Amino acid sequence: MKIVNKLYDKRINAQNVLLEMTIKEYSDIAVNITKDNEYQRKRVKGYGTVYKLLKEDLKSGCLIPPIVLAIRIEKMKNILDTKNVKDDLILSLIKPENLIILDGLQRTLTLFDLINELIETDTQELESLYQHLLRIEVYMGLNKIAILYRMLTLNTGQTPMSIRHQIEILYSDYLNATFEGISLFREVEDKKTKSIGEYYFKDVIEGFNSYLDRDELGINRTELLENIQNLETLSSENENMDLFKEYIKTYNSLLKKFDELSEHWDYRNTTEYDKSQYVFGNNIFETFSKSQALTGFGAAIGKLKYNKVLYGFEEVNDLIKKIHFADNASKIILQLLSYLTMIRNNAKNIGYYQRVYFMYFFKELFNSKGESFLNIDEATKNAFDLYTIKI
Amino acid sequence: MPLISLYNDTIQIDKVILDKPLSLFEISNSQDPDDNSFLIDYVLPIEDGYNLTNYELYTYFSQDVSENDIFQVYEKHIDKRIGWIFPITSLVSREHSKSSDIHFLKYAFIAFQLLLLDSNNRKILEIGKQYYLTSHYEERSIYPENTIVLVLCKDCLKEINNFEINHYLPSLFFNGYYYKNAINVKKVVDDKKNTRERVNITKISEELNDEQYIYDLFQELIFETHPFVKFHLLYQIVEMLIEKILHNEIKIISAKLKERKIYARDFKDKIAKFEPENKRINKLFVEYSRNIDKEIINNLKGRCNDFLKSVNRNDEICDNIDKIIYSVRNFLVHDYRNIPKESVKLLIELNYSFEKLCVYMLMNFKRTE
Repeated sequence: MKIVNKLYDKRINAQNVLLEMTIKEYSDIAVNITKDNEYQRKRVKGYGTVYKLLKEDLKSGCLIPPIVLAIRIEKMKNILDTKNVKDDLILSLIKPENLIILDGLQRTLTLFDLINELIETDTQELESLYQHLLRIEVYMGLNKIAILYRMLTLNTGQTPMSIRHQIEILYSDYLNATFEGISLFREVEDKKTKSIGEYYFKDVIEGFNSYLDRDELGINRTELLENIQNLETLSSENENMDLFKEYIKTYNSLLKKFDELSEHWDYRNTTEYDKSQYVFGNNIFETFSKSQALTGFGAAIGKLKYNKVLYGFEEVNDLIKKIHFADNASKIILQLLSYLTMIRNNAKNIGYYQRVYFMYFFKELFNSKGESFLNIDEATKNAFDLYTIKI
Repeated sequence: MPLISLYNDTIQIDKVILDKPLSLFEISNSQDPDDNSFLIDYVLPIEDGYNLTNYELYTYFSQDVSENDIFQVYEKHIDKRIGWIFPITSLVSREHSKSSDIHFLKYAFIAFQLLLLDSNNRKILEIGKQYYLTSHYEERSIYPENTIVLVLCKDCLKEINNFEINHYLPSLFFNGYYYKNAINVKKVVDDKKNTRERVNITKISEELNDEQYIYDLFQELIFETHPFVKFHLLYQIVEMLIEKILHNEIKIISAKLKERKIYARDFKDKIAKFEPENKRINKLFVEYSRNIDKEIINNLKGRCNDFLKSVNRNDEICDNIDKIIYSVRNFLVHDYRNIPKESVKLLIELNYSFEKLCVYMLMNFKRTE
């Protein structure tokens, strides 16, 4: 294995090292690449003509395009200045446990496939194969954001993962965050969220993203790169984490306040209860823990902050203490739910338009310059009027 | 199928593979040497295990359909369910009322795949970019958001003699499902859509199956924007039908003559009774299309009378649909150049009602013996 070239990528601030190594050396270091790789989750892939041809080409010594790997930042042994790292230190980091693959997974899998075949059938040809050379690029010390950014922009024709998957990766650190009385769950864990404080991870991320974007459209925006750039504009990872916590803690406080003011309102305990009728949520938590509400809240606060009506979540927390129902809480909550049902029955895109409604609702509630400031009744009705005008 | 854009060429998507654990489809071209592919998320619960070749898929458009407008499709004559019709947005959302209905989910899963393989779709997908089946962003959507999906079960269609989807174009049009993605179509106001479960579709009268003009009209011409032109395009349906009436009546009278039930002189008198256009239009409404919804006729009558009043043809206002539609036709043929500006709006509204009448006439036309 030898280093052929080193270039510095200024966009993601990482050293890119071009190595030349034998297939044998690559197979030794790549042994973990296909395992536990969150960035390249196993995909169904056909092994048809293309891969058969590739195997034949490999046997005959063809030169395949460089495979691109990365060493995660946490594996860099605290090396801060990757521009000036000595070659022997670089080579010492090229180890199975340090590497992830950015591009070339299918070629790698095909190579392993071929090796396994030759182990069984032709060891002489295997030895010959092992001596053929490969070019391998390695990025030194990439964080999660940079890894995703590079994978998306390499643009080799392979889309390694769907948008949903990419979002999960980007925000996976937040999944592990725990803070007072709030738990986040992945949908795959199949837990029906039960009480205030328990949220689906994806829904919270969507809401947080809407706060950053000031847009209720939600995380289905097609340019994931903009999501990455959003995170990068928050100057440090600590700041990201604190802001995220503030967002969800504030929201959780708001739900607790709604629940308290409505005396733990539950549709099933009302005289209007009809089991056969659809309702957006049976109680405060069910209603407001959905992604439409979380996103609407994020977008509303983002917009109010941008327009300098609010200064941040701290101010929102103070305002939450003052929100109130002017009329009977049950009547107003039923009204809000009926609006959501109307939207469901008539909207071209239900999720989007319910987000719009919630955005108007929260914006009305927390806009000190508006008529509905802190008044849940007025916010409920005026939000629907604004929604109707918009559509 | 959608197309993959390569350097100087495009190739078609012809392979769709489900990744069930990740709930997504990988789409690609099976002969692509670079093995380019795209991943499309599938958000609904998966109901698989059905053979795609047992289903047919058609796409239409609508300007005013809601995500929740998901209906079973019943063929009126056999009174059986033959499939489902729904907006494409219902395939990318769990918010609607059918997201747990296994019958819908089965058709949804089939439709999703057939849409990805549909050879009529010529959307070009650029390598490295991500796409959705449909979304708010047109450039990243394989289909526009106002696409309507009709999925039919082939086994169910066997009960229908010589099934041909184009025979149902007028009926689909009537229900607000259009062959073309046009903007100048009347929104279908349906107060009952939130409670009903089905859409009934009716084919045109079998005697009209070979009339190419019907298909040309509902695939293209009916989206004409100029109201004068549109009226005449619709009126061609009347012309077509009264021509058939002429032939049929001549046939009936000739048979009677042959059987000596009438004589030569009667023959001439009888022809004179129905040969004039207005008389045949009367026959069209009274004898040959008897089952037309009275509300549709009354609605058109009202619009015609409003129009005639606005162009100062008050002496032609009456209660007979055949007379007043003929009067409108005559005004437009002979006097359009003098039409007041405010009457043009009325003509547009009249045309919307006339469309409905044409649909009913096509579905109900029947030769008398």
